[in-house]
Amino acid sequence: MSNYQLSLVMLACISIITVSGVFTMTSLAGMFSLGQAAYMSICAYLTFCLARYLGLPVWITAVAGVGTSVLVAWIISLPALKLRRDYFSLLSVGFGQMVSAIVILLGDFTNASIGFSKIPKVKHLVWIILGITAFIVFMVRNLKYSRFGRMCIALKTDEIAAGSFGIDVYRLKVKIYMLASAIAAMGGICYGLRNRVISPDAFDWSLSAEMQILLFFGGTNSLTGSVISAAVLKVLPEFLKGVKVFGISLQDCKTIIYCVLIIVVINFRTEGILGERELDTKLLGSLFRKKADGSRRDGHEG
Amino acid sequence: MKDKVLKAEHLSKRFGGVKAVKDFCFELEAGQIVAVIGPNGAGKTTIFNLLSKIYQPDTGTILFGGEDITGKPQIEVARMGISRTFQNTRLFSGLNVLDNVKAALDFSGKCSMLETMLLLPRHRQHEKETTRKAMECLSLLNLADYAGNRPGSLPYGIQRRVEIARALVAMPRVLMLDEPAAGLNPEEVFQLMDFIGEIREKYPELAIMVIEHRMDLIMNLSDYIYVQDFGQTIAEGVPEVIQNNPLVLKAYLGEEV
Repeated sequence: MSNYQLSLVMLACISIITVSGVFTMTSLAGMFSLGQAAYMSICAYLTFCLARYLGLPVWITAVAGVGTSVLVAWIISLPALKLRRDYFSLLSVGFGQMVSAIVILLGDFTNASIGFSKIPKVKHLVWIILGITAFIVFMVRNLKYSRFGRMCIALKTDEIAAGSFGIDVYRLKVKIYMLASAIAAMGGICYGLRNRVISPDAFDWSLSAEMQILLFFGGTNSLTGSVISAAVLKVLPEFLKGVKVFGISLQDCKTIIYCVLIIVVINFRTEGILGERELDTKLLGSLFRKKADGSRRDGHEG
Repeated sequence: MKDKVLKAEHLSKRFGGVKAVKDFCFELEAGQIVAVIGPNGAGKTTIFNLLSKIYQPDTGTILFGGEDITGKPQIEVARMGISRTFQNTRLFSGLNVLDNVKAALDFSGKCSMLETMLLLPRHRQHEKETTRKAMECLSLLNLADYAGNRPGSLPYGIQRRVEIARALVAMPRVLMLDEPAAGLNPEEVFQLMDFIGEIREKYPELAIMVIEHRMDLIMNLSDYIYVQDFGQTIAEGVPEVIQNNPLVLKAYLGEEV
């Protein structure tokens, strides 16, 4: 594969990582955050600045970066998750902007808006990113079908009912928020390693919004759908690069295309493309059963 | 004499100027079915919310198995073994029936989040255990056929029963049913009465507290009745006594005393 194709694969993978992170908090626990890109930012800057200024290997500073992101997530979530859901979303936007502002304020280290480009080169990056992506998707899938997944879906539906079955709503939300932030943080490292430059603009609220759009497009409650739409919609604009309509490159219209898509999906398929379906033995089983049911019903009518 | 499982002393709760519950005293023994009845707005659901600690009482104490639980949070009380259903069924619509029942057991899991994400043994063991318990409970209550269905696709009567199964699976000592017959058609109400009778046979140690304003259901099922009106207990006693109590008739029918 050419370098360009490899970079597209990495782009898709990074998108999958970040959307999986958002999946855990929005789809499972019903927390709508527009600030997850901030954790990518915190972690990426910390990882690469530490690597640069302390001369440590990236994998050590990456651990520090993810750890710090989780710590920040914990501190933020303690007051934020006491709020009602809509206020929590507002707060997350503010948090995202705050992190961007801090990155610019620390311009001496982070090179402010110009971007920080002293990022070490890593060999076999595609394989590393593919591995991380597969691992994260595997973990999130397991989480969905575990006791935590069930408790999250329960509290998303009805917090009072969840509480009356001994589910500690607040603590569980904090945990999930920390997990989602850790995943976003890993996405941030991968982003930096791929692009070799990070700037505060790259991690502003529009990236967080994009994650939500990709998630809702693929299916709010379907990890399969989210992963597919994360990969496809993220890479799609790259193929639109050469296409020109009325002299305007379609890639420049990326935002407009996204918005139109999301409006169409929300109007005609409220649950997203895949709804709640997941790609696994259960889905295949239900397809067969449906077929069997159909033929039985036909037989009955006949 | 049997132990009092749940006991409330002089509970009061006011919302603004409205005294929703005034000086409510009550006792519940193991194996007993106690009903709280009263017209709309009598404060019945408030009593439930006080006992299950969704609301904090203004005054009074709640004793559970002799232990004072007045200051304990909702989650802890639920974990101690007070389980409830809601007036409008509050099943978790995103989960199927089996998972709904399993979710009621999930708080007891020992495996950490990391363990579940890596499918480590303790996660598998928890899954096996909860699935077994949930299926046992569903089969015991003849609901096993619906295990794979989403609650939204089931008739209301079945949803009610699933909600009761979910409340029972963790083996609580007290089960509180908030208007179990609300929204059911007459046939479903009869089925529900049989269902509650079955529960009584199958869980002999369970204490059940029912809120209801359907007299037929109450008179047949309960061992003891408290009648509420405008937040106050206007009568209490065994069904035969309550049936002929003039105050109760007045509250219900507006009859002259």
